[in-house]
Amino acid sequence: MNWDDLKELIEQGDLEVLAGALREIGPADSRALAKPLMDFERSMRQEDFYTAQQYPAMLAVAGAAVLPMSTLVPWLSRNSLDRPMRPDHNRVLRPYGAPAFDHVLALLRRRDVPWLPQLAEKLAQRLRPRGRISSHYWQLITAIAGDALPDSDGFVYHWPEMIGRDATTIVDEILGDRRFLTLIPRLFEVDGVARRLASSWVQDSWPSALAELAAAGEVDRLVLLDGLLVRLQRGGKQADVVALIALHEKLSPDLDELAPRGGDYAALVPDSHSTVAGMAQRELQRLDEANRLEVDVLLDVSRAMFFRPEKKLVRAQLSWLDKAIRRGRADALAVLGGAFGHESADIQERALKLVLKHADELDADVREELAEAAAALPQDLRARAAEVFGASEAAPEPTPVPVAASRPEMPPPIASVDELVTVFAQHAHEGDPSERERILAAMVEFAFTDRAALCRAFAPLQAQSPWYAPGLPDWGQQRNWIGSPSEGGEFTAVLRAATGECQGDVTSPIPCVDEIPGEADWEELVTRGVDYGSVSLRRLHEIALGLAYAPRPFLMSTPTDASGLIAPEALAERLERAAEQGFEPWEHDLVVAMLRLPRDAAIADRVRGLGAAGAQVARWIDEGGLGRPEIRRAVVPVKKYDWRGMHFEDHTRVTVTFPDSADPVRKSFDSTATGRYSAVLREQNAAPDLVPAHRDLSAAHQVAAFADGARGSATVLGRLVDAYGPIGEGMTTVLAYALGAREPADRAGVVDALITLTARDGLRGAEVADAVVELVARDEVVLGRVVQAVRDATRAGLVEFGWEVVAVLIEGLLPADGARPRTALADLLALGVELVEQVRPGGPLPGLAAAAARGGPSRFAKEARRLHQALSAT
Amino acid sequence: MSDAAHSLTYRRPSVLDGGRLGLETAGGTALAGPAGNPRFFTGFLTDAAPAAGGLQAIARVARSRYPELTGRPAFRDPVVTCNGDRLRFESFSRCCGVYARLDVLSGGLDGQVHDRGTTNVDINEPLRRMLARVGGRDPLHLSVGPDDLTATTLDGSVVEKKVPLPQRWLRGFAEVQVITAGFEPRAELSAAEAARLLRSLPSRSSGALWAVPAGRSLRLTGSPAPGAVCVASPDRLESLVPLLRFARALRVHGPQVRAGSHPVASAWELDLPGMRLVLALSPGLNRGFSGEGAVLDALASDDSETDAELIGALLAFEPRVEVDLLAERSGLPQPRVGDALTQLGTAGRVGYDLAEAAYFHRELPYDATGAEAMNPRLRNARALVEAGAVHIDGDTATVVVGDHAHRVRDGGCTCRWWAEFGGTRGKCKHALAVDVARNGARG
Repeated sequence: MNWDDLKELIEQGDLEVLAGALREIGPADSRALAKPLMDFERSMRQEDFYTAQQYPAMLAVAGAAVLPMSTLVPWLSRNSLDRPMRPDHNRVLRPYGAPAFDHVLALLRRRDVPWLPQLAEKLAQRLRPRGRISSHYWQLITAIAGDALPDSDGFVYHWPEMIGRDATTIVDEILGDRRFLTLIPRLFEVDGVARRLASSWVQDSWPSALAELAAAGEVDRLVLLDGLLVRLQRGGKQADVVALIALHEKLSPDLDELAPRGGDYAALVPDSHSTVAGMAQRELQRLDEANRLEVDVLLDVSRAMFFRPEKKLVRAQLSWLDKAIRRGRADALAVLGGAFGHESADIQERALKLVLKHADELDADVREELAEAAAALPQDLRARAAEVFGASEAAPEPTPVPVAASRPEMPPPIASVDELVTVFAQHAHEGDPSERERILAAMVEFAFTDRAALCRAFAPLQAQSPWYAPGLPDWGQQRNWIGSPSEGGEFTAVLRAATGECQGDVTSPIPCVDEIPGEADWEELVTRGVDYGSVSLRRLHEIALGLAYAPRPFLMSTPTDASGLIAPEALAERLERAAEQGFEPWEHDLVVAMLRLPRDAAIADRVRGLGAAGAQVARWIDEGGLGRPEIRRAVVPVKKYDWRGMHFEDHTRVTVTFPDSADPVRKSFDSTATGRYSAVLREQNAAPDLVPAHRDLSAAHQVAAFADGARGSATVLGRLVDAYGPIGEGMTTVLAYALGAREPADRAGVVDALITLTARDGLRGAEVADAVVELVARDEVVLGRVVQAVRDATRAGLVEFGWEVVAVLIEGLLPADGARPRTALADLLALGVELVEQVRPGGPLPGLAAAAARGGPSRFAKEARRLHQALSAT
Repeated sequence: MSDAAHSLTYRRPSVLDGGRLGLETAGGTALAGPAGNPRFFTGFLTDAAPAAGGLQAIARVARSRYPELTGRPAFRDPVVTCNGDRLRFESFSRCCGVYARLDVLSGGLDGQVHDRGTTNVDINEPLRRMLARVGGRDPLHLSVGPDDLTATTLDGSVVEKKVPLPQRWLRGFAEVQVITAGFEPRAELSAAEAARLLRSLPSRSSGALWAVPAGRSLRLTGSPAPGAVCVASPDRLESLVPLLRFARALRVHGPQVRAGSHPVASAWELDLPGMRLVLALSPGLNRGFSGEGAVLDALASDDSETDAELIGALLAFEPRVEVDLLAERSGLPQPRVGDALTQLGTAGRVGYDLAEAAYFHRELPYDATGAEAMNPRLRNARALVEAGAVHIDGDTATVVVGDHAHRVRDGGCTCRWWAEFGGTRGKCKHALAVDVARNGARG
């Protein structure tokens, strides 16, 4: 056969015929064909995907017949051993015929070369222990390997997915090819395999199969036991250990097997997954009960266990120690002090009870050690401990002093075009409002003074990023899928307009809608469905239009404070300069400037005479600015979008109602009038930096962003904290939702907020707690999370505040007579006990006495009694 | 960039048998110069269980790759340094984001020091398992280096290990010393508080968290503030957990931060009986120490290279490098000695001990000198200068890269690197190129 013949057969695409022809060739032909075949493959790899995909199976078969070993290793990894592909009538690639695997194997065997095991070894080396591979590739390795299978990580890693799904098949396959027996220990050594042992369809198949093989004496049980222990010591998540624990259960090692491995089990206690630690604990306890565990190991395991958070494990450890002590291991009493420092009061109490039970057996050293450890106990338990150990000198816990964060400072205005480019590159994608405002102010100013320099400076950036191309975007040309107007898009448009052409001067007004290309489309998009043309979006849009058609030397609305506030004098001075230079500010620019004035701005008389703009500002101040809308927490129907489409659900939100909402600006913030309760991004309005003097109004509009776990809310919360104005139901509802934050990062954010608000604005715990009670009662906030957040806050030093919250929560959430107590209520009561010790409030809590009188062994009843006693004692 | 392969030759595997821990050494440096299998110490570890736990933590960091453990299992054996009165075991994770060092101090050692120097020690799976079994309070016999009595097994059976040695790994290992040298102590926690803190840290967090001292512990906070420590991907501290039961205190170190800081590195030092375990974490899961660019300025200037050579020759594996003493002996002013030490740090020739707030001498048993000079950012910057891409125009400069240009001003640049990190990971290649060009223009 010559190359042309072979090429024709390859192109023909019939594996059967190709393999038949290749069976006939001799070694001399092979050598001659190798080179052109490799060249052909190389040229095919250069082809487009569609063409290239039609050859691999053919090439694998041809290569198997003619290529030397060194070339075959990458060749077979690269080309397919599966069914060949060809286009169907729709020109979609489909597999056809039989897989190339059988032909490749037959041809390799027919060549009668000594290097097939070596080839198997090299192919196995190329497998990486990750992802998925073709099963034929793996089968080829097993088929051509010699007496021993390769044991590379990749080969072992892919084994579980190549073998049968249920235990019987696995056993049969392993016994059918006994070479696999030697691979079994490697299952525990290769990273990531343990996880795959459990992920086959039949959960238990691998553990059962291995146990069966061990029972039949095919595998040494001790090899399995050691293997799994070593693997467990390397750690892992639930999915990594589940199969190993199942295997351990099936092996159920006897005491003789456990005894020499006590140290291995002990090593699993400190930081393994809880199921593993539990398993180790059970086995060690079995050993101990048979008196075959060294006491040192028992002590070490106990110390390590007391550092674990799982109450169940620690409780089990305590009862194990109890039994051990009763059996005469009095040394064990010494380690109980470790449990005094545990987080759960329940555990602390059990440990103390255990110590008190065996108080007679304590020798002087241990007694002293325990007395010292008792300092970590809560007060009521410490008093009980003191009766036995004598009064221990509890080191007074230094209460941290909560320090309010300082307000961020407004960075200075951007001084040069080059600085503007750097700041823009750094902050264009971030949402930091202060930086955005600096950029906007500089953009307007430099576009007015030296537009050419601005264009030059931004040219490199624009070359890199075509979406910054100069010129105002034309919404008439936008396809619908490009999306709706957004603040980010309008911000980009400002840069585009600032570096584009300018057609007007300071006196020109912004042209009307019909005169600007695409402006009508923009208007339509922005008002379609729900009118989300919020003031800030319209302002950004207006700046872009203004830069193109009606330039102004500066903005009215640039804040002078990082919160977004504008100092009234600064605005007055800007208006005076505008009057001097003879221009009227842009419409929304002026509106935003007015919204950003502090509540007590007293510049009405100073600006009244400064043209239409001055008169407008004076009127706004005279009429009381945004005024005092009514801000109330209420359960309202909220729009939800899911598989049912748009529908309404009842949720707690905060409504804003203006007594008179004739003014369009006020109306846009009136959620009763607009029906906007949800803060779906496009409907969001009243960002804290837009109405910095009206924090509660802003908060009322942000509530939806905090509902349902308050994920990612820390930044907005921080801005609300930095805003000004009295705190009302808007802010307390936001805080109540935020206290139920799911993520630790968000919880940290709410603790920061509470610290700063109590220090700066005298926030009262009771107000926040009222909101929490309502939300918990409606199941909109998870009580357990609130307790955790309040505990974090008290640890940070907000003790008084924390007690106020806890007292109101207990009063509001105690169950009615006979009703089931709410989940996590016991934790709340335990936190109360902790706080009473530090705050020493006077007087009982309504309803607590009844709860304490309930009796019974439940944790709720126990904690209620403790709290009741603690309160009575003060 | 091709990764050099590194091969280690041990006379036999390290073993722990019958209370005798024999750690085998590979080729390294001793007082007298390069040594085949140097012998540093024989004697006892007075606190066996914490020492065994500490060594396990070192081994664990060496084989870790955060976020997950897949891929080639090749890891590099820990590095041991004998500084006379103490032994230091160092390792660096495969992801280049976690550095660990166990300092066994004179209080934890009882025995004889044979030599000073640095080399690799063999840590193998059977040894790890035996270490995990160590419990109780009996002292553990330790020998670091081949024991003379049994060193005569001349049957040629040696242990050879060959591992790839990526340049970024080497650079990170060396650079972490320079980065931690700028740290200050931030908080000290009791073991119980430390356990509580480590448990409260989220195992998976998307961004960096911050913690500020509050009472006896640290509390998480939403944004950086002066005195805060960055906690980036705290699951990387897992190696500390098994040791908490032996610990007396956990000390946390970090660089200075201010409101609005980007994530930074942090160091966590566990105070154990007779020893200390330090873990240093990079500022993020996807940020190794190698890319932090802390030393690029020093390297771009090339001034301190000769000083470094001089100072390097004066070091003799001291446990503490005294800057004033070196200044006296070298005749260089103290700031220049400091710069030279930074340079030596990047070449892997000194490490930094946070607890002592001092450098210590050790020679990484890898050829790290070339690695730092091969820093990709610096190399790219020099290439830009050579290609004539830098046009200096007074205070600002334009750097032309391909079809676009960046403007560099006061070290700030309009490129994406700058936009993303704002200079917290060192200068971008454009700013470096401008520096290099300016230096060239000056002389």
